[in-house]
Amino acid sequence: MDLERYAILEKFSAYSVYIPTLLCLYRIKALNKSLWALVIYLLLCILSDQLSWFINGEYRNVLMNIFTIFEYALIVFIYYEQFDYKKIRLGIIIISITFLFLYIFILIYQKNYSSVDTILSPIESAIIAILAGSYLVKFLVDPKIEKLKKHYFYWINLGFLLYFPVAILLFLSFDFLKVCKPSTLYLVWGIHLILNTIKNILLTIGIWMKRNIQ
Amino acid sequence: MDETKYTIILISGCLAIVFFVLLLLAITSISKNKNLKVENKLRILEKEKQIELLTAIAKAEENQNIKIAGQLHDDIIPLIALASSNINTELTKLEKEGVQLQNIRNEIKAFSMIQESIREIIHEIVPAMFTSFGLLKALEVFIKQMNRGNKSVAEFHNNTIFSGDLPFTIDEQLTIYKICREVLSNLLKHSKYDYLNVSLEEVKENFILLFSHDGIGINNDEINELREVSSGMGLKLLESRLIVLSADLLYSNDEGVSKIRLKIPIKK
Repeated sequence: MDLERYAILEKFSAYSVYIPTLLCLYRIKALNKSLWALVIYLLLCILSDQLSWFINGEYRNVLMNIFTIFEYALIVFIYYEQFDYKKIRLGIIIISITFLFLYIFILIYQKNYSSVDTILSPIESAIIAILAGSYLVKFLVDPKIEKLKKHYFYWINLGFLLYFPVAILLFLSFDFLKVCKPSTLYLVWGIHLILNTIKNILLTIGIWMKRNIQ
Repeated sequence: MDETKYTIILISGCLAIVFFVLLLLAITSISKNKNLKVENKLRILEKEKQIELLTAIAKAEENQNIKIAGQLHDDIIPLIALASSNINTELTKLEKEGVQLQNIRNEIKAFSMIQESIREIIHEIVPAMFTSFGLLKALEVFIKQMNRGNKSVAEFHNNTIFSGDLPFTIDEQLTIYKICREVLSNLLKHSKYDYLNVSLEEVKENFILLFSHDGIGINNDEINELREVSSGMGLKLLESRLIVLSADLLYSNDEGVSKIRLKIPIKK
């Protein structure tokens, strides 16, 4: 893939996040706690995208690490709110606190907060992917949910379920991507951008499906 | 491993994950649909059982009521009439002998009041109008009676061209009549209407009766809440009668007009 096409994909991916964000603001009365967390996550995506245009090198990686921590915390909070089984909620709290402490500790202890971690970022994606997969099981067994496609969180979950498992693989290959040819980097990272765009479209559908809270 | 191979593996891996996720979604969707079908079948079976049970209970209750009404009409009223007549005859004899019995005669008038009360009870159980002229006439008469001693106006209108026999059995018609009477009594008690219009809207696919009024209305959510907190028998009996007929009672309240729509599917 050449730079020109990659740039188009990058713009699509960057601007696609505005659609669910604006929709959230338009349907502000319909937002529950999960969707509020989603709005903050989307605003954070926009902020980090905008900042990354101005920041380069080491500082960009610092920004990415900070973004990862907030991204993880917000998405896990969304799932915490969505799951109503106490044991699963407790599990989410324990895993999240452990992971966040580990993440911050490793970044500070190893003093590599200015480089992208190739272990913890995939773990973050893996935890979210597992949560998204588990929620799929909840959809299957929950008798209250009759039509999957009419349930707003089905689409939001689908967005995360498509994006994060692939992100695991891409973050694991970060060392390779740093040294490969630009065309290879554009091709592989292009997949990431396409999936990010699809995720944002699915989030938009999910938010659209949410009815007003009475 | 060279770069090309690694790239191919990486891209294949990504595509495989996407494919796996889509497969997982398809499996979930198919399984959910299967589960739903099974649940729906169970729900239908359960509802059929419930209807069967409620129909049996309603029928038994109806039979019991009719039996009581019959006994009151055929046994108790003649007995009271006979006793009253015998006492009157004896009193007349005594009066001829010069005994003053005006006070006792006044007391005996209570017998005819008892007879009247029993007749009213019988008509409550099996409305006279209903047995003589059928559901619609009985409803019309009941609605007219609601205007007595009341400033408010209640009317019945048949907005269809239908005038033949209703496509329901006598038992079903009696159940419909009792549903309507309960709705009308509730409206009289709680809605404080000035004008109430009861109209027959359709007798084709469904039998539809519309109760429109200008009083205090209620909507479906409010009636559901009321049903949960209410300890009275009225709403529960109404609910069981609706289940027996597979009927719906929809409450709405818009722009000063409150409506209650009774919809009963016509079995063909």
